[in-house]
Formats: sequence, C-alpha cells, structure tokens
Amino acid sequence: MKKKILVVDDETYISLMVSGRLKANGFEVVTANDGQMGYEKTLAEKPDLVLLDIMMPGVDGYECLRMIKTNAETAAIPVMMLSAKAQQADLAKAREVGASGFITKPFKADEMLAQIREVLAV
Amino acid sequence: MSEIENQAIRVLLIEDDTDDAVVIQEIIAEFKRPKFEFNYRKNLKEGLEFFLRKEVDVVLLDLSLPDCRGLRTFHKIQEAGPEVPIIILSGFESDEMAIQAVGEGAQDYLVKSTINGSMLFRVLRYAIERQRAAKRIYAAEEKYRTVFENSAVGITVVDGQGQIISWNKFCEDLLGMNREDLYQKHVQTLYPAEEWQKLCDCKIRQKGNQEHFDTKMFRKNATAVDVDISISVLKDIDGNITGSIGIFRDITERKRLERMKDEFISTVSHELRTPMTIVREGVSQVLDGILGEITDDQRQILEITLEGIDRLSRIINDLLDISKLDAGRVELKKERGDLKEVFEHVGASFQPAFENKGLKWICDFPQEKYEYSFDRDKIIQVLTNLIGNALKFTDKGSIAVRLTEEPDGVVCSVEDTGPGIASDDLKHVFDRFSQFGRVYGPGEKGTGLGLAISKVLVEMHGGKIWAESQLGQGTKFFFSLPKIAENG
Repeated sequence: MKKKILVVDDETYISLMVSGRLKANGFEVVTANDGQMGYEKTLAEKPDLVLLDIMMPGVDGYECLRMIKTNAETAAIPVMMLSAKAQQADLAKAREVGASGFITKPFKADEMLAQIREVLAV
Repeated sequence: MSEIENQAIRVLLIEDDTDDAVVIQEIIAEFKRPKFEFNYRKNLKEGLEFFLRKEVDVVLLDLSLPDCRGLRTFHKIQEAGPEVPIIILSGFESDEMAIQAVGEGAQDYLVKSTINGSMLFRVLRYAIERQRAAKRIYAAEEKYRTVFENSAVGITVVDGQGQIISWNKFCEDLLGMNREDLYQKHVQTLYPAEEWQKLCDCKIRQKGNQEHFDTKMFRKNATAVDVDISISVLKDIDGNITGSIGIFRDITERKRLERMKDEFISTVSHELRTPMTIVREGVSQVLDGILGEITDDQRQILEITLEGIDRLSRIINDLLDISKLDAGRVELKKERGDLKEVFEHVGASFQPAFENKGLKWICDFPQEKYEYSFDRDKIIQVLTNLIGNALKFTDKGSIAVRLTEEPDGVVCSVEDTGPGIASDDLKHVFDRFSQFGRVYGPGEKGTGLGLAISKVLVEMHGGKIWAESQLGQGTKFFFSLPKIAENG
C-alpha cells in the first residue's frame, strides 16, 4: 500500500514541487498550507509521515510539531522538518520538540527521498 | 649638558651663625659650573620674606633660629613653597630632628662641622635634580591622571588580590556606581557569574599579557550592560604581577546593530532559499524526466542551471557562516580528539572524487595518534574546504595530507600537484571573495568565502593558517593547532 505523506508549507509552489516529486516516487500526498491546518489534517488523515515547514504565518512549524507530538492520537506519526532555516539552533530545537529529521531548503531530491525512506523504513 | 648648568642656581641660606654663613658663602663662591647665586638671611622672618618675594631654587636651613626653633622652622618654609627643595643644616652628627625633617620631605641634611666644597656641591645639585625629576614625574602623572579621569571609557584598576583600588568618573557613570560600590570590592562583583567564568578561562594573569573581548558587566541596579573590555596585567619592576587594568566601553548600540544585521541576513537568506528551492526542484524534475523525455542539449543546459543554483546556495550558507563569525556568535565546542581520525574521516568522503579524477591520495601520519583539543565539526569544515580546493584545481598527480608535531602544537597540511598560485595572488588567498589565478574547469565552483571562513575558524582555535605555492609547483596549505594546555 502506498505510504501517505502530508506536506505542510505556506508556499504553494513548494508544496507543488514537493508533492510532484513524492508522487513520482510512489507516495500518496496530501497538503496543508499553514500550521493549524497541518495539525488538523494530521488528525484527520493519519499520514505515515509529515513534512513540515517552520516559518509559516499563524501557527508555525514548531508549534504545529508540538501539537502533533502532545496529542496521543498523532504523537507516533514521524515528522520531518523541511525548512530554509538551517542553523544549528533550529535543528536542535526541532529535535527537542520531537522531529525525526531535518531537510534544508533548497533540498536535493535524492537526499530528501533517502531521508524519508529511512524514517518510513521502506 | 643638562639644563642645570646653563643658569645660576639661587641658593637661600637661613642661618643665625655668621661664621657658619661665611664659610658656606665662601665654599659656594668657588663653584664654577653651574654658577650659584648666594643669598643669606639671619632669621626665619627675613628668610621667609625673601623666600616669598624672590625665586629660590634651594634652601639651606638651620633649624635653630632666634625666632623659631626645631621642626616648625622647616614646616614654615615647606608650607611657603612645597616645590622648593630644603636642605637641613644640623649641628650634630646624628641629629634626630634633621633626620625627621628628611622623613617629612626635606631633601637632605648636612652636619655643619663636616661640610666641604665637594659635599655641598653634590648635595645642592642632587637636591635640585631630584626636585626637577619629581616635578617631571608629577607632570607625567598629572597628564595620565587627566587622561584617566577624562576618558570616555570606563577604567578600573585592580590590585594583586583582585580588589578594585581605583576607577574613573566614566566607570561610575557607565555602571551607575559610586565609591561605596567600588572601593576595595572584588572585581568579580562587577560581572555576571558566567561572564566571570569566561574571564577566568582567558587566564590573563597567568599569560601576563593583554586580552580584548566582549562581555557583560553589572550596573548598580543589577541589570547587565554589554561592554567590550581590554584587560592588561600590571607588573612591578621585577616582572611580578601586581594587578590589572580594565578599560571598557558600552557596546549596547553595536550589539543592537549586530543583531539587526544578523536578523537581516538570516531573513534574506530564508527569503532567497524559498524561490531557490522552487527553481531547483523544478529544474531537477524536468532533468530527472518526471515530466517527460528531454534531449541531450536540454539536459546539458539544465545541468549547468542546477550547478548555478547549488553554487548560489553555498554562497548563502557561507555568507550566513561568516556573518555569524564576524558577530562573534559562533562558539567552539572543543573536545579532546584524534586529528588523524578526523583527517581519515574527511579523506574517506572524498575517495570517490579522487578516483574519478585519477588522483593519488597520500596520508602521512607518522604517529599512531594526534591528541588535540578542537571543535570536530569546525575542523572538518576547514579540512573539507582545503581538500575540496585541492581537488578542484588538481587534474593529475596527488593530494597529500600530513600531520607534523612541533614543540608548541601540530601543523596540518594539504598539498596538491595543481597549477599553483602566483605570489601576488597568494597574499590575498584568505581574503573574502578572492578568486583568481586558477582557471576553472567543469565541476563545483567556489564561493570565494571558504578560505576566509577557514582562517577565522583556525584562529578561533588559537592556531594559524597559511599557504605556500609556486606556479607550476602545486600548492600547500598549512594550519596549526596549539598543544592542549597543561591544566585543561
């Protein structure tokens, strides 16, 4: 069965690009364009993985991650940050809140896919 | 010839014994160079009148005068002109009173019965020279005191035990403190605990030199102010440390601007990365054939485009790095480790590239282990940069890395058999955005910041970085790391 990935990013074109790449590699993709919707879709869709941007208006990536990780229904879903913020502090913070990985923008598709497959163990 | 020899020295003798006065007058009349102008008064009243009316260079004073006796005689003259040297004339070999007068500021004393020409000459001259030297010292001190008091920087002077013994007005203003808060307080009380620890880590007193760094100091109301401080060790004539001087400035505004700059660069980088991601991934998807077959020509153009985007991305990363380094916001996480292992680790990541270009990889590590204290990630960054450069510019031959232990540390080198760098260019090799001389072939292009970053990183470790090269002879890059300090 296809693994389902939720892409949360406020930049529509980024979502489009990431979704295109994931679909081409055999994943099922759903998208959300802010943190609040990201959390709601995580609850509703129960994806196998969430790819989460950090800097978003309203509920940002860290907050969305915290919401996912503190709700028992979604806490087990792995979340990978996909962000242009790539400083040591950002990586550390994401890990602290419970992220399973960190992909920096601009990403190389091969590397992103490799990380995703590792987390999903596929 | 000293100043003293050009003009007559005006001597005032205050002495009630006429015979003694005549003897002294006759002796003084014999002096040729310098000339002495002799004046004589019989009692304190007349003596003082003369002293106040005329300029006198030195006073010869008998303490037992008809109108005043004892130390009071000396005090009267001293009060009238504290800058004029006074020589006491005493009647006895061991005159306690004369000795006491010397203790209170008389230049010297002479026992009248033993006075002779050379003795008097010497005593008079020395008295005047000493007085002039004292004036010069006073003037110099006065000059430095004026600088000290009127500096637009805070200054504290601390004794050997770390107690504050002196400070200037600006220090009081900057810290909002007064004498009560400062005098004989330990200097540690001026710093937040973690800042004091950093200061102690610098081991300024042990090193016995000067250190300059940014820190925070407490204001009276317990808020901290950002300062840059320069601490110098004070030593006595034998080189023993007697204390230290701290000179500090308020850098709140500078820090605010640095933060703004950092935020700005961080925001711009983020803003640039988002469209770059879109472009990169768009080009990649076409290139990867996700959207359909492409021709070889299309492929070639898209590959070049992708290289350009990746280079842009590296430039942004390097710019972020260097701006953080400039702002002093990168802290080393130093740990003891084996440099050989780090070299091998970095070397291994380059193996496929070496094989690709047919380059020989030479490791020269004569020892089993090279234990040093360093930030592993940062040294990997430096090494990756140096080996990456060597790889970029070397088409045939070898790349060699060496570790050489020296008395005060280790020298690491990366040597290539590439085209070399012209000596004019070599001087600027660590400058920012200095890319020259070497002609690019295909492959990854640099950002012009790698060596500048490497230099800062090595220097943060207390090491040095340098390069040697000749056109046609290859290039050698070296960097050194200091030995692990005995106590840490």
